[in-house]
Amino acid sequence: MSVPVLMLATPAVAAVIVYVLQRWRWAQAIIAATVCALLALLALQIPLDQVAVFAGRDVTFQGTWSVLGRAFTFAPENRPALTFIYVASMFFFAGAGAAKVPSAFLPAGLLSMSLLTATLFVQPFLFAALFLEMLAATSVLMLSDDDHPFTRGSLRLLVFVTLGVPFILLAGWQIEGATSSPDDLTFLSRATVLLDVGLLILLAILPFHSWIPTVAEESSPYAAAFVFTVVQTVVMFFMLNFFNQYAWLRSPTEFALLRFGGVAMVIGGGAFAFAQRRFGRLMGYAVMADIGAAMLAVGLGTADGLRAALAIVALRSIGLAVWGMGLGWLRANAKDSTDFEDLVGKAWRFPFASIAVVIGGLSLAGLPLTAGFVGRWALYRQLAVSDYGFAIALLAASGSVMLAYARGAASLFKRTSTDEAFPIQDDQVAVVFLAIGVAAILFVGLFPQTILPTVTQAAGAFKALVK
Amino acid sequence: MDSGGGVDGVVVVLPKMIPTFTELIEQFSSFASTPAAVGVLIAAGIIVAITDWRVSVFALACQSILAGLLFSRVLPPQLAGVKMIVGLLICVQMFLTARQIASKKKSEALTVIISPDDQSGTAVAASPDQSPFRNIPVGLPFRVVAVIMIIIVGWQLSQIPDLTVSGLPPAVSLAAFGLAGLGLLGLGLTEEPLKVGMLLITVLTGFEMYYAAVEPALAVIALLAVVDFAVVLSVCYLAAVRRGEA
Repeated sequence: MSVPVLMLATPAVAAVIVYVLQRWRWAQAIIAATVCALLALLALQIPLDQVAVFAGRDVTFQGTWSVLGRAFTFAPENRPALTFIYVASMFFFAGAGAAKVPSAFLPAGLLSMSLLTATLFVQPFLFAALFLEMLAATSVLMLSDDDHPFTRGSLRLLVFVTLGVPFILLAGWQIEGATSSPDDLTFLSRATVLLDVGLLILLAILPFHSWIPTVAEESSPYAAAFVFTVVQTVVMFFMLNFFNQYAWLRSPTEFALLRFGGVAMVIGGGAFAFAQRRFGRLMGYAVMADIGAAMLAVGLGTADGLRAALAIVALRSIGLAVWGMGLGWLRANAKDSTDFEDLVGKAWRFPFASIAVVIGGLSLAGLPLTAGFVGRWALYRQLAVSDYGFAIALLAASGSVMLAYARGAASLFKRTSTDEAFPIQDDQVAVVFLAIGVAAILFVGLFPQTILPTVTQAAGAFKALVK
Repeated sequence: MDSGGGVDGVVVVLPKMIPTFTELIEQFSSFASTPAAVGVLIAAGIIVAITDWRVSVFALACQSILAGLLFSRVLPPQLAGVKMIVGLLICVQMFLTARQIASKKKSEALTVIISPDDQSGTAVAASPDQSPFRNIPVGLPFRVVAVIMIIIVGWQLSQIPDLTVSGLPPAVSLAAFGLAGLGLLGLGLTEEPLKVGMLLITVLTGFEMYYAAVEPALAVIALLAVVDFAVVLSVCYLAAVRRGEA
């Protein structure tokens, strides 16, 4: 039995089933979450290229599937990344039953699981860029619908990814040239430039960031949170694969460029966030600053830096999911607006959703004692030694995002004359998910040692980077 | 009667009615160079300059056919044919979506307005502008000049030895750079989903022409075709759900 076929086909088939069950949102959510849980188990436990007993038979689980001269290979190094993606998606899909999401969210989300898996499996991995493009096209389906009819952000995402992919593919051509003519350094220098430009666009680094705040503002907050978590994580893994595989890319100049790009995102995100008066765009700029922090950590070029980056990327998902679910409920009860003015006093009618938005947002900003602080703290400690200025910039950006959230929280909790006339209107099922999410944010913030071994194990997949 | 179509030992040679795609390509081989490259750039220029969806979809179809001919210079004819068919299927998808949206808009525009002062309650239909010039963009001269400039830049780029690939004929190189440039220009001028889709396909076609000379592997060509379909599917979806944007 071919493991790549199993892992590529299962979510795609589930997507079709879930699409058919569109009228039963909870059935959809349960099927999607179960499929992700099974895939996570498979990713962790399945024995590769060994004989194992399955359903009473001896079965060899092959790790490679060849098609049209290319291969999809499930390498043991893929296990942590795959497990993270499936587990994060499982929580997102389970919560989709209680969140305000577009009808295409679950089918498109499951389809994107297939594409994400293909992105990690395809060999040579440069062709993963093509799957990233398909992933962007699939993401568009879950970001806009009749309830979220604004398409500017989705279009920008699609356009930027489409423009980034050719650079990656052309870089692959130059890398092949460098392999056949190792003495000619022109190939390598061209490949480096092409890769830099391609990754710059795919990672949404300034000035290619504009789709992030626009998607955060226009789309369903929960679907946007999913895209920012899962899709951006895969892009990050894609970049790390390059650095892991090609020694010439691990040059001081490239790491300096990463740091520069990272700090640009941090400063840009922080500066823009401070001026925001809408929770949607504020989240977008907070995500920008967080992506910048992760890049800054990778740019340090150390094993600890990589671990900090992975912690930031992994823990972003909890804050975003909680934030997305909370804001989805608030937005649905505020004439589809995320403006602070339109949300005045909402905390007295939707206390759980409001607390989720505030705690999720503060975790994204890196407030101490929240999940988002774990990775940031590791990064601060390293930056304080090597790049003091970057640490200050990151701290200022975090402070800026926190202040903006404080303004939003002040609006949410502002008393109005009509508050007493309305009882608490939070959805009861959503309350359970929101409470679990907020508890998880605080738990990880208080006991970071619970997730650090997993992060260290995940970093081990990038052997050349953790040396 | 024998199996070969003969009767009592007489062999009847049936005339060949439908030529194969390879034969078709051979017939048009003289056209599959500079004329096709110029044609493909004119088609792309029309997509950028004209906003009417019927003209744009027709131009995209012409672009796909001409690009298919150019692909035959760098790929086996069968694969070039597949590229052409993919392009034409994309045009069908775009046409159906655009027509559906246009009819939806038309029915929305024919709204019944009843004046509050009109006590008789007479309904007045507000019909859309029927002027034949309504779909000509205000900035048409600017767009035309920009298209010409981009074609010249594309032509210049295709002449730079460092940017060309061995095995890529000059006409294909010109078309590749020109299409990529015109697509980028158009993307900077519009935010309408279907138009963006057409321009993304234009950019991708330009890139695919260039990349076909670098990586003619079947898997890559198939993946790029899937990418084209995925992009068009998503823009058609966005066009269908889009509302309230300028």
